[in-house]
Amino acid sequence: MQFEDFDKRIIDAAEHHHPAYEEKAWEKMETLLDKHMPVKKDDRRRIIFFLFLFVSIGSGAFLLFRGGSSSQVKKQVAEQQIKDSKVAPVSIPSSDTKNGNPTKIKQAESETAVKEVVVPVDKNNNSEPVEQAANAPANNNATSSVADKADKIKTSNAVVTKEIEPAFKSKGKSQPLPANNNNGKKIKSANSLTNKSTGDAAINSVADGSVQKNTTITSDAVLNPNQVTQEVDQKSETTKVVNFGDTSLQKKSEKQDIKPAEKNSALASKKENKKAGKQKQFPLAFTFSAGPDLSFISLSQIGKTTMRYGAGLSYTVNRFTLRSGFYVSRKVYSAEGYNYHPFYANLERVDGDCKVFDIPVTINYNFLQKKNYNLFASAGLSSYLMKKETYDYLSKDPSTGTPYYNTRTWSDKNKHYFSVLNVSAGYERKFTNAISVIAEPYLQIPLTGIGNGKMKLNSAGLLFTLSVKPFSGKK
Amino acid sequence: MKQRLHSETTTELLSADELTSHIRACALNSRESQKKIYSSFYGYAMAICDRYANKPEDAVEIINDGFLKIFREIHHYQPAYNDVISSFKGWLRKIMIYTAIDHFRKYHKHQMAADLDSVAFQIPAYSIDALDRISHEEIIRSVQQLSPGYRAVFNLFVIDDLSHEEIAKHLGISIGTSKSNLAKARRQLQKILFKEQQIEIKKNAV
Repeated sequence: MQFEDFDKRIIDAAEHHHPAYEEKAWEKMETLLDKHMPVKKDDRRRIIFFLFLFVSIGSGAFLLFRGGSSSQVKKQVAEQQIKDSKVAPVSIPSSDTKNGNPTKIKQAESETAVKEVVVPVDKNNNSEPVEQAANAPANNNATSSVADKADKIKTSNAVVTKEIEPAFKSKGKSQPLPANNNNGKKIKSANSLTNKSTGDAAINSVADGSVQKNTTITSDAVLNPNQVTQEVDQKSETTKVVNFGDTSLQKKSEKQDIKPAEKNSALASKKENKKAGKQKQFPLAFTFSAGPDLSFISLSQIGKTTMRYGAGLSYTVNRFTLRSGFYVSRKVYSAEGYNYHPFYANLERVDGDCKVFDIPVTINYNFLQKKNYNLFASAGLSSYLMKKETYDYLSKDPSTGTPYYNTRTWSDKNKHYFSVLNVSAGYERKFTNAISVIAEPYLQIPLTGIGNGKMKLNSAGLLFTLSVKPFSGKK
Repeated sequence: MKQRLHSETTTELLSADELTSHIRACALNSRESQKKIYSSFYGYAMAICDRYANKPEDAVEIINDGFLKIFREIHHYQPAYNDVISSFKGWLRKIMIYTAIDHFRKYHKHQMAADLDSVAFQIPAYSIDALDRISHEEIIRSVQQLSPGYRAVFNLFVIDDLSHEEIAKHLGISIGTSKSNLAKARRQLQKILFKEQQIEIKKNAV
């Protein structure tokens, strides 16, 4: 028929018709694919992973820096306190007693400056404090003047009962010292200055009332209220003497027997040192791990035992320890063809050999903490970065039964963020405060398909870890 | 449908292993592999699709719908025989033809001609010889200029080798309608080609 030739010509034309590729056509195709077959992105998981890693590293660095700086600050504070614990002059403020007004004694508050205490003046008050003041040891220059002043005090019937309160450089409550108060007014006693004071007092007077250091006075010392103010520094277990009024009164102070005060200061400094020592301890540890690792798809399809090794960090707070790290392992396993996705009907078996970078983030609960060992349980999530995947495929022709072998390799293709569940328990043996060894059997269960075949790749093993705490102090 | 084996004249950009690898990746919705397969078989697929379309954008719509079907079903795909590329091309071709049919049914179904009791059609001998002077691209362009119903039946019967029964089944028409549309398609194509020939003669004369 004629049209056969005609058709033949048309067919020939169709066979030789080859339109060129157009990128615009692919752009439309891609839009269609994004609409009907969108690609699931792991951006969210990736972002969370890096955010968590960044926060962990940042927190660790911040705590490390703070721990170091605060320990230095404490050390400096302790040193300064030790320096300030030397003998300082005591001063008691004087008030106008000429008019019989109540004396105002500025007392040194504990840890603060002078505190003012009003003491009623009793003209009939005995002169014992005055006598004591008069009898207080003084330097050669001040002895006569002290005696003269003591006489003046007697005649003026001005009795000053001194409240010497221990003063502390830091905050604290004032503790007034007992004074010989024959008018019945009781004044609380200070810690150490009161009971064992011998009555000897040496007072240095300062013309302008400024605080004079390196002078001491006992609680029983009585001073001219018009002329002397007193500050007591309990930490230093000494008192300061300041003269505000009569500059002619020259008295020097002497160190008294303040053994109890010294003891208290020693105890206080020890406590501070202990605190400083404790604060030196920083619960951050570096870990180095290695151990056997076994991969399997199911209990009936066990793979090969390989080595898992890596390093990490841990941070302990109370009974919890946060751990992370970077581990390298090789997953060698076999699986039936139906485990491989997408499913291929003729696929009989797949043998996988994958190099994996494992980044776990886990939390330990130390349910038994002893001096020499810990027992803990741990759970967390791992991210698998499939560095290299090699798969050997065994297929069979369904009609003839002839086997076909094929091998494929992928590198840096699949990444599974927070996709593997980590559970473990462990025993930690402490050798020193800084070094311990951990034996930890673990199980890793995938939450998604792993690798190019999206297979449920499980792992189990025993990890041995050396933990080193470089910032541990003495306990 | 008797499968016609066409000559392998398109450039083979993928080897058999590469194609197999990309097919597996496409099963996992890999954009990269999807683009690779799309670009490699674009010429082959478009050569089928643009015969069924009058406008380039319609042809792109048919080819993209066809590839969408392919990528959706590629995880079920199994090569029919050992030649991976030929098997894939055969599957691709079938998908594209059926997509073109769907496109016709969606937009041009009402444009099928009615049955004719008898059709007597003869192509003048000079027209057949004249086809030798017209390029392949012009012939294809002439096919594209056919009326939608004629174009569909002509492509399905003459080029894609479907029987009238199959055409009637797929297009939802009777066998007689299929035959009459084929006859009219040939007549119309002849006129178009004759016009092209006349234009060609005039060009050569100048």
